[in-house]
Amino acid sequence: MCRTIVPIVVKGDRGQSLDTESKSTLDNVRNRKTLMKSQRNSPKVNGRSRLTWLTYLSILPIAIGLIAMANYLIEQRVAARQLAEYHLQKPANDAWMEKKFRESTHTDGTAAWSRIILLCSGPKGWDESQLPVFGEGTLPIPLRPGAEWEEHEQVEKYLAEMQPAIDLIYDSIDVEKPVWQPIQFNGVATPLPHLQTSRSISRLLHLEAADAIYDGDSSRAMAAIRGLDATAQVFDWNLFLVGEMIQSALRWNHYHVIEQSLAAELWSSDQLLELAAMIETPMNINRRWREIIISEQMFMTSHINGAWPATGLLLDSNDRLLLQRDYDAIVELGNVPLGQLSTAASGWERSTLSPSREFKGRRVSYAMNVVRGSIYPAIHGAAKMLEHSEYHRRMVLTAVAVKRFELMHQRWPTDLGELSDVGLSQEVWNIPGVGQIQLEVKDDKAVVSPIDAMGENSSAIEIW
Amino acid sequence: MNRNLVIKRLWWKEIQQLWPLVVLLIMLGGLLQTIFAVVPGFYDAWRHTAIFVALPGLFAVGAGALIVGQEKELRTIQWIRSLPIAPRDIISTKLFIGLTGLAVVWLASLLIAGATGDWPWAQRSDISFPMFVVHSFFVLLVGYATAWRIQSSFLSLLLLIPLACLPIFFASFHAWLMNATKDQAFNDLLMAAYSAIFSIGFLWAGWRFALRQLGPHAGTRPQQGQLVAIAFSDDLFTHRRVAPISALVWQFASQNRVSLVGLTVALVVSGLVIGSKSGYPEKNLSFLAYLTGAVACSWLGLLAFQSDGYDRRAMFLADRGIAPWKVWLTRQILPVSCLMIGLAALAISLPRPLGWMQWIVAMALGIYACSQFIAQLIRSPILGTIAAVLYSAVTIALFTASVVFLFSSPWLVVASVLAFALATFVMTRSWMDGKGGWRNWLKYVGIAAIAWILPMLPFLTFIVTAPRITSSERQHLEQLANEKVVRSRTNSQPAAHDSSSTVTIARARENFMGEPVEMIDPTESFSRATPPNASSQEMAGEVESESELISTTDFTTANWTRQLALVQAQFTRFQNGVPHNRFLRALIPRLLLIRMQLDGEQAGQEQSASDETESSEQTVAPEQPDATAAAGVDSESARSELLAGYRTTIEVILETIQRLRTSWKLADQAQADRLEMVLLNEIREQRAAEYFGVELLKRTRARLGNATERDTARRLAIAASWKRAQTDGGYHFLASNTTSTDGEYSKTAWTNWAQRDLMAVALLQLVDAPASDRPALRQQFFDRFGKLAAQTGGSQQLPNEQGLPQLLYGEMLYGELVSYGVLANWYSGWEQLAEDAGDEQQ
Repeated sequence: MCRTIVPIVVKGDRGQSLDTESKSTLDNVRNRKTLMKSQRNSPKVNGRSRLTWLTYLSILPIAIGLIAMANYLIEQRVAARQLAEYHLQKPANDAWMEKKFRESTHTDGTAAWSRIILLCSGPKGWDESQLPVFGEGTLPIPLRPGAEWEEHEQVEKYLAEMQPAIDLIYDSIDVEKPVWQPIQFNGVATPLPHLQTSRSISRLLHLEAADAIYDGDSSRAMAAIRGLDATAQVFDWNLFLVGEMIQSALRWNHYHVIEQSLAAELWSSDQLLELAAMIETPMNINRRWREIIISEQMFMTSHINGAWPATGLLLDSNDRLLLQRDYDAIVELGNVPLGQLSTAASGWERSTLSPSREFKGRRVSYAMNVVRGSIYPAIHGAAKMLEHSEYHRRMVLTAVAVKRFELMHQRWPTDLGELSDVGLSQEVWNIPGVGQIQLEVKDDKAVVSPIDAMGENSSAIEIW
Repeated sequence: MNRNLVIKRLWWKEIQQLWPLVVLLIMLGGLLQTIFAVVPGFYDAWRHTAIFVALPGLFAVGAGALIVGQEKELRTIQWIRSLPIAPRDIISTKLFIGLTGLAVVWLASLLIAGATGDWPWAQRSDISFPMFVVHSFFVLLVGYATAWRIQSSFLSLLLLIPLACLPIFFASFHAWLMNATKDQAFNDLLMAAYSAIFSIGFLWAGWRFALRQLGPHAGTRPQQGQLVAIAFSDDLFTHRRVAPISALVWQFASQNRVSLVGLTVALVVSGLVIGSKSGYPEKNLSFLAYLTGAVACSWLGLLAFQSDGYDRRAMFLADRGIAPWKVWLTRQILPVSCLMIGLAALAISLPRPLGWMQWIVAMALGIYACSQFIAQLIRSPILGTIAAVLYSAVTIALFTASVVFLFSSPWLVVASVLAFALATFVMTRSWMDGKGGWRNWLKYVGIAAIAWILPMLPFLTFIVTAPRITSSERQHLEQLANEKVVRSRTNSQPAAHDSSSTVTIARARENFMGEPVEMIDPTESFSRATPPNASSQEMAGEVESESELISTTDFTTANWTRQLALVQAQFTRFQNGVPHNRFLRALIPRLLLIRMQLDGEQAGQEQSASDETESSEQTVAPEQPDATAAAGVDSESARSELLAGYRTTIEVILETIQRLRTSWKLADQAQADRLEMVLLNEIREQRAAEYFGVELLKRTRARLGNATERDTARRLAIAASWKRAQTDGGYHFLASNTTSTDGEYSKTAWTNWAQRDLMAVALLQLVDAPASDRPALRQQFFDRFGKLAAQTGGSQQLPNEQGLPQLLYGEMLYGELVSYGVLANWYSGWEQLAEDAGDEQQ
């Protein structure tokens, strides 16, 4: 209504010709012009501009908000496309894991090891909690024939009942390893009961070896140690961090039994050579690291894609892309010399969790931090675990070499350099940038001490 | 005029005004407390207490606005004032009715809380309930004071929030000065004291405001809305050069300037607090900020149309021919703008992105959209204030659930939010005309329903289009299920004991009829056993020996055989019982160990026999025959012990299978399958005939070869589980073996609930099909129901040297695990082998 009036006023003010108008008309026009002028000068004439600023002002935040939302949506679109391309190149899902697991394992020993799993797991109508290795019972320290061992009789009875299982393990050592077992991959909910039970197999063999060492039966002890080595290899599946933790425990048992046996003056030169051969192959940390992190990445992808919907909803496409890139970066951490992985992992964790971290020019969101807190593997802990396992192997290999040297020369070596006589290279006990394994001779025994990087919890190996 | 009569009438009038609120609150409290008490997992002390104190709190907040504010809103206050009634009578009646109402609500809340069996103070001793009582009376008096003082009920409610915090502020400050911040009791006392002091102040102030309102000079001052009309009348409606949109924006700003400023400040402060607390809602202050922000969003939405409902302003605009779209647009611009300012404050104050900012924005806009819808629907500011918050909360919860659990596209939620905006846009004309009636309401309700249903559309479509079983198939299932009931009734015998006694019950389970079935577990529960009908002496002796067995480190087979004897005794005692799963798991490895020991013994004997033959050819010392004979006796004795243990274990397994086959649970059928597979493995061993003995081997073969009984048991278990699932939500019908597929919880849940029909029919088809069709049907079942049944049957993929499927012991052991599925072994290769074993028997 108002807008139809205003143009007429303007037109009359600017465009009317007065030549053809009568005087009275002129007077009227003058009067109208005066009126218009007075209207323009009056506060009401400026009413339009005075009133509209509020409208514009209130539209401004809405417009800014709309622009921000549009920008966000475009950003998401781009990130979603990149994410789709990423998944095309690197599929990480249950089917892919299943295929990968099948390709990296063998089925020859599946039935036998399945039976071993059954025999070593679960309740059997007796109480194992008082036995050494399994429960509260203890082994003599040092483990030597004739040492005081309260539970020895019980252990012997238990092992006699479990002898069929032990024999079956020995019969199944030569199968191709690692051995496939049926696993239904289901992201974070993937059950791994076989892996859990493998620890019971290892404990049984540990107890068998300890009993054999106590009895001074070297061939029985050697058989058990071979069994421990085989068990670790059978279940060396490279699946997830939890799988690696179990694998690390299996390897620890294996090395630890060798450690314990060195105090018993049990072995012949040939047997020591066999022990050394058993543990001389260095762990391929880089490959192992890559496999673990890739399986963890599958876990994570499955998790945020729906295993827990709320997590997925908290992450926009940018965050999801960042998560995948993070795992790529974690995989790359493995490409460093021995001893530097944990340092690299620690540095990566610090930088990743830093509040100032940016991705694609923006700071990482709180939601990402929440999600990372709940799903990221303990990178630093995993790296340390792998490194310690390798340090442990080197330490035990060095200790075996010391014993071999003693048998060969009828004296303890004065320093580790002398171990080259038994074929142990310096690379084993001297890790550049990390430290050296130490040797000390005390009376009638030699003591191999761990490198500092293994921490205070690692104990020295006594060789008699 | 009779004063008493007047006061009585006033009381009646006020009661009429107040009772709906009282009843509503009591019903709400009763409902919530009942839900918390009845629904498993809902009850906790915090919720219980919160409802107890919240009901009177809500009443205290609303009473002033209802008793005084509504009078002003409806202009009945002017009529009351014109009556020959003393103002103090009106004021005191309103006050006393409020106080009485509050006392009634406290009492009712107490009774409701007590009816659930728990008194709040018994649950939360850390809370000072007297303080809450005093504070609620304080809030009531503040509500009265603000309602008497301020013309707008909405504003008076808004003002109530900061004023209600005054005692907290002063008590905290006082405690801080006294350095007593950690003494909760002292703080509570301070809080109660300040509440009481302020109550007196607000009582006095409210009385004064009320007298002024009801006094002779009241009402002469132009009201705020009138002032605005006067101030802008020239500009808005008389001057021709003023654009209506700008004018309408100004009009809206002027008539809501206090509310707009207040709500914007609330939003900005909330945003800054949330930002400063890094966005985490679990912190107290941050949570409060989220709550305040949400309420502010809601009231901004309410503001859009609420203020025009007052004084018939909307109709005024309609009378002057203002286009509805212009009115709608100008009602939205400023509130939305304020909303954006609040969100901007949050975004700016965050040191880094939240990650869930998009959801905050979506929720803020959603709450706003719902509330502006309510503002147009409900004209009363008081009702609107409460309804907008509640309605938007429910709607947002629904939308969130749709996205999180039903996996709706967020864009559908956006569409729903827009539907609310579209609704008010379309309905603005009727709203301006003041149209009422059921048709008008129906339109609003229809739009609201569409907005609610929209996000659930994909899920509803999924449900509607999902295939279903036919009525004849359903009838067949029902028939089978009923047959199971009959069987259960006729077969079940009364338990030989009082089920309420403390007999050995390791795990309570129920059979199809709901009767308890005792589970025995010699490894776990014998020490707690109290055999029925046993004298205390007998009992003591038995328990002692059983305890000895449990804690035994006697690993011998003889000891195992004694345990089995106890299990067999339990079998006699409990007609329907089966051993605890823990014991079942012990059965299998122990059986295997004993058999392997027997093999070892046998090999040893053969070895010694061959040694003997060799040695007989040489000279023998005179003592040697005795030693050999002694060793032979020992060996024979050990062998007998092993054989006894082996055979008793087989006996227990056979009995357990027999009992499991009568169970209605599919999981029990699967357990029976696994035990049969173990037996099958055993009879396939080289020396099976010797180890089993003729009679036991015959029974075992007969059991394994009885495919008809196995199928019948499965058929009945399918129907009975299906029937049982009708009442327990499907938990027992494969549900425990269901995992999320593709992360779609909703569909999986639906599958559990609704697709059980299809699964039951498919399973029945599998059982009823000829053997040649079963592999294909089995594959179809796996393809159709995915992880409901396992596809990773290790035994299916590992033929032995004869091409027969190998039975993986590890797989049997973990067969109960989700990943393998209860049906992993149905009609896989082992059953043909079992039937062959039965045929050999014949």
